[in-house]
Amino acid sequence: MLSTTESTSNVRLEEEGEVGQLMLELDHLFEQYLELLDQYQTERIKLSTTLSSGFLSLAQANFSSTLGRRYGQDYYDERMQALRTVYVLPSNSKLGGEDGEKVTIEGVPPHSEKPARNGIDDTAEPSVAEPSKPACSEDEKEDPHLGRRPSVDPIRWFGILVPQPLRTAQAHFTEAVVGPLPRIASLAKKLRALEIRIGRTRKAIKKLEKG
Amino acid sequence: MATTAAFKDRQFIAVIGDEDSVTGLLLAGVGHVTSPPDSQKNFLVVDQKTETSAIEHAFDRFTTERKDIAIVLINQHIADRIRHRVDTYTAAFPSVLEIPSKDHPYDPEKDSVLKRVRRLFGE
Repeated sequence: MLSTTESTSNVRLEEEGEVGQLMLELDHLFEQYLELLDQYQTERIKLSTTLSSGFLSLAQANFSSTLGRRYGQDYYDERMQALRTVYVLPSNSKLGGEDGEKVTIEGVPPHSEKPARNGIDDTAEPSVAEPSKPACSEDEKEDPHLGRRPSVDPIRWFGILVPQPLRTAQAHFTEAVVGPLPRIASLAKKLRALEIRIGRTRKAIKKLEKG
Repeated sequence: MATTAAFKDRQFIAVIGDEDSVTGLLLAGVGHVTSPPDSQKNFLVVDQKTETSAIEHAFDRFTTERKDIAIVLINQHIADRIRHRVDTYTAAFPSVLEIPSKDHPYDPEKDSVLKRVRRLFGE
């Protein structure tokens, strides 16, 4: 009888220890989550500020435009080829690869023969190994049989002599695309992955507490 | 976690936005038209005359049909027109990000990521 009581109390102690362990893990996950959330909000502010400057410069370009032309869809090149593409790198972190993929956006300079790797690398995640990135550039993807021309700077769609505010707008939008945008995409994925882990840990704690 | 195969071909950024947003992002070099005869664009310019069904169709095309899109950018005020569709989108790829436009600043209250945060903390 005494041994049964002892074993019951031992099981209870083990369960309490396990709950304590899971609670600590949950605290750690929340700490990570709040840190990422802070980064997400900071990047969001950066994106809003950069886009806002871009919109302002674009409005200035339209205002200063001669002949009342508007820099918009009437001038888009219907054969445009992307100069900036996304690379999604699988995460191989020690946390079991559950903290989401990393997103980078890289550019191919116009008329280049080879791709230039000028993408912004998020150094906040040093655990990400050098990935097996796709080695093809926009130029390489072009099918010579279709006669597609090399990628050109989109600002050329609007003529050779474009106003300075349009160039400034292009610089702001490019800054938004290579900077905060991929970081926001990566952070959103990491937050999503952490939400799943937090949910699982909460469930495990509830299950142990009920038992 | 999605497998590498699920995202290795996803390389383009799609845009659903007003004319200034699309123009700015195309100036940054994200615009792409696929080879003929398909000639599929990775952007949709939305104005007051654009039907909500056309926005929904573009959203579905970029998120479900096309396998080469990694990120879908949509102006927040346009996402409001298909809010149910955007909020119930849960797939890992492509990522859907709401961005501000010239006339509509970013509202954190509507951001789907921050909505999930509030749910997580039981609000």
